[in-house]
Amino acid sequence: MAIPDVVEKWAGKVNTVVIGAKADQGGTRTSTVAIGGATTLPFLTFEGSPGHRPAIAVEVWDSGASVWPEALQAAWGDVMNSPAAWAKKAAQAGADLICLRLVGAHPDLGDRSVEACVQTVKDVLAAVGLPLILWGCGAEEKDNKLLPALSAATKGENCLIAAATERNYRTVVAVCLADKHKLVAESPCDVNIAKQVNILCGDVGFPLEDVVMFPTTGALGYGMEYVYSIQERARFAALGGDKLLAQPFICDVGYEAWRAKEAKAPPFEGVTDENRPRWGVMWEAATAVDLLQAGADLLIMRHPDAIRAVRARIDALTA
Amino acid sequence: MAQNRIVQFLPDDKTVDVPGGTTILAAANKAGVFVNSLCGGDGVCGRCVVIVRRGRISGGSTSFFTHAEVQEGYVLACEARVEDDLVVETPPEHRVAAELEFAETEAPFLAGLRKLTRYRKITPLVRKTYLELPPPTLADNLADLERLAQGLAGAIGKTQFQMGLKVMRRLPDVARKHDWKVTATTAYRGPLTEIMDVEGGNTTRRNLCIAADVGTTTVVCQLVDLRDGQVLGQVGKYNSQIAYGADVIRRIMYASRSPADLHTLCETTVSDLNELIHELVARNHVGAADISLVTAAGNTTMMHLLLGLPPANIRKEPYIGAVNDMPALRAAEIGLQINPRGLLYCLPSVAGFVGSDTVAGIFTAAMARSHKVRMLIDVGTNGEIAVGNKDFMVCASASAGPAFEGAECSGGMRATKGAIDHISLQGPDAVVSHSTIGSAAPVGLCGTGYIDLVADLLRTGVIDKTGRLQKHVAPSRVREASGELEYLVFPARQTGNGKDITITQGDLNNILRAKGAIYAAQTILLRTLNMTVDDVDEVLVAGAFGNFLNVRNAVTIGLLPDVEPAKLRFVGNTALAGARLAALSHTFYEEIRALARRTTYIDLSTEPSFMDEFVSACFFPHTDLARFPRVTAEIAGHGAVR
Repeated sequence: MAIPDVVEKWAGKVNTVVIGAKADQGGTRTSTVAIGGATTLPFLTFEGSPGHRPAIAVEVWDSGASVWPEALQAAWGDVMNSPAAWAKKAAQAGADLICLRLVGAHPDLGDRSVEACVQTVKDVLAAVGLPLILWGCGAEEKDNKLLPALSAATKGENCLIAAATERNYRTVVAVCLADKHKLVAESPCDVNIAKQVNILCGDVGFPLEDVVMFPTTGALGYGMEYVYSIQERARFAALGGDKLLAQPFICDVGYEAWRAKEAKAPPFEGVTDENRPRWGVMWEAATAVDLLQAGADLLIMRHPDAIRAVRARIDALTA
Repeated sequence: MAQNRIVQFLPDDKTVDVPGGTTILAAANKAGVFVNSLCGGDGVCGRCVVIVRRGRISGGSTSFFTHAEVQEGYVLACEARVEDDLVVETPPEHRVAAELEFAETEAPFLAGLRKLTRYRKITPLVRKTYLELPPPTLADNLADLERLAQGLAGAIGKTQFQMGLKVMRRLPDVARKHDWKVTATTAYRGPLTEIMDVEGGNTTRRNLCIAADVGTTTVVCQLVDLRDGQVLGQVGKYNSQIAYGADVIRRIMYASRSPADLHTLCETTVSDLNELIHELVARNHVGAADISLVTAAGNTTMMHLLLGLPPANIRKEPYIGAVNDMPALRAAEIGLQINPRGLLYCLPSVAGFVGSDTVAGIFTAAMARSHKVRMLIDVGTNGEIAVGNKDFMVCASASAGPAFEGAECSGGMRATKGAIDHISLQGPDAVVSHSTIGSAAPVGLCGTGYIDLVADLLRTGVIDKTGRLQKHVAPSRVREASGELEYLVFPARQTGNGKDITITQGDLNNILRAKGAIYAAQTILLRTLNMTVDDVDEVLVAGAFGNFLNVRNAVTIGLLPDVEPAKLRFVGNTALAGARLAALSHTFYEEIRALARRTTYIDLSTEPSFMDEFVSACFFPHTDLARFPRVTAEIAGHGAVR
């Protein structure tokens, strides 16, 4: 008996988004990263094109990284006090992009000035040739001043700027449009709102092909099933032809995984001082690999060993 | 002894003489002027607002009022005491029993219905029959009751009678005193006929009924002449139970605390109805004793609270009420001030969350008489959806909140005089036209006005698809007040109460959620039936939120599905119409009962996709834009970054 053909044919396709610009493209980056482009579900190469390989961005903070767990402090060392040096070390650790988070700009977390933040971004640009993700501090009012300045300072570099939300999108959309950056559209764990934010960005004139979706990430054991199914639903819709959900995903893996108590102080029997640091690495890597199965296109990560493990897994799955 | 003072009440222009130191509320009661008071004079409900135009008062806290209002003379009638001759006015937005409401401006569907009943044989639930009975003789020696029954049987063709002891006791005297010329009031009791009352002489010309729509947010009563079905008047007010919770769940929780709390809610509704009945009686110069029938439609919880039935089980799985098909009751038993022998017929409910208002709507819209599949959307605090035809009928409900009835919205009001029921914007900054009920100066917005306004705010880009106000689009109208953005619809100088009419961000959020819940319920109900909106021949919109609905605007905001305009029809307050029709014909009443029995209830609370559909519908017009092709084309391109 012949085996029936179970290959799924999809009508839609995930958008391809390119981040970074080399000299001939008007920027100063030495590499660019393309994400998305899949015409089928993750890693099902027999059905269609899996698109571009998932990329890994290494998370760098402008200041205040002393709150990071010990294992991460030990892995990165002194460079955590200098975003430029940190970015350099991250590039050596195998980063495809640098995700620079301007945490210190938050009014409650240092309230760094817009000028100081711009200088940090310039330092990082000078230090590495990788494309940049620039993430605001999360305080709406401050971000509405900060992001325009960052956008202007990096004009031509084709950065990915975060984030437009349902409540606050006009300013960041306007500057990304003016300075030709890519945009992260953030939504709080709801596939409908994810689509709504995309529609809102489109309504104010932003090309939906230049949007990367951030449907909120949850770590293993902390809402993974929830975010997994949201990504899965959005991806099904994209492959089904819904242009308003055809944006590639960015997942904030490092931040979420290292919040888990299992990552910091594992409450399990048999955990010793010696193997404790491995737990966070495993938690981060496992979270990342799970999300890859749900269609993650761009992972933001923290620990060099976790990055290495996930890279190996991506290689194995795309070989 | 305190000196007497004269208090004049406007706009009623009634004057009363009271001792100094009397509260204005007491004076108003004495004068027969209705001032809305909920807490019974404890100074806590803040409802009994009056404006002292002339004269001196003492007492009265100011905590409920703005500085400008205090300057103008706003006080609470229960706290302010008369110290001088006074002129007192009830503010337009607080006048309880409002102006006559229907007049020429009734929903066209219902106006048409009214003509229809003129041609039908009227067989009211309570009727009066004038009899000239032969006096008893030695040869004709029937007892009085049997004599009456024999006469009635000949006149109305019924043979099975029942009668209470009170009437029986009076019968011999009444009959003889009036030389056996009597009027019998009889009530439909299924196979039996109750002889409710016997009066001397011919009183058939006085046979009136109250048809009531007892809504969670709005209570409306019609005075109907049972001889010909003519509507003599209509008045409405907000349900005073609002103070105990905006939705049925909160009311059930309140009523379930103790028998006394249940009693409070029961009394509150009864007193609302009495207020409206009193108003109708006074306006039409008829006697309350001539009203011997009340028919009431409302959701299951409201019917329970009206009758003082414990509602607690409606809230708990499996959501069962005390009774769906309520037998006829003596209206006086719950305190309704009509003829003491008069009856109350509550129309039957389908389930704990689908009440007789919906059944009345299904009946009024004649959904079960046609092979055409119709969807009825009853826009109320509980939004109810029914889909069906003569072969099947299913319904569901979703809690929408009272936004479309004007409650819980800053500039909202009931669909009564001065309510903006239509408005259209020329651009972000300009109102091009509007109309108000009664053609009065605008005082606030009713549901249909909100639908127009939100649709045009969306078209002009003043709000985005999440309903958020965009200040830069209409800088002269959008402003910040009390920590949130609001859009100025009419400035104080153009309004009937001297206050700005605005729509706030909070109002927009309420409206978004209300329409989201109602649309989600439609989607899920149709999906449960394995149907789409394309399988529906006609979409009917009912509700007590205005006299005319611009259905195109209701589609634009995503309250109604985006179908061909010809398939959409606004039918108005069908709950009230159903209550009236039931009163006019026992055949109608039985049809409504049969309809309630054969309607299937689908519980959305057990439907896992409800929340998902709801969030999806909380977007103007909808997250799935493909479902709203006409609207998407219409509002495309607005609000682009320049």
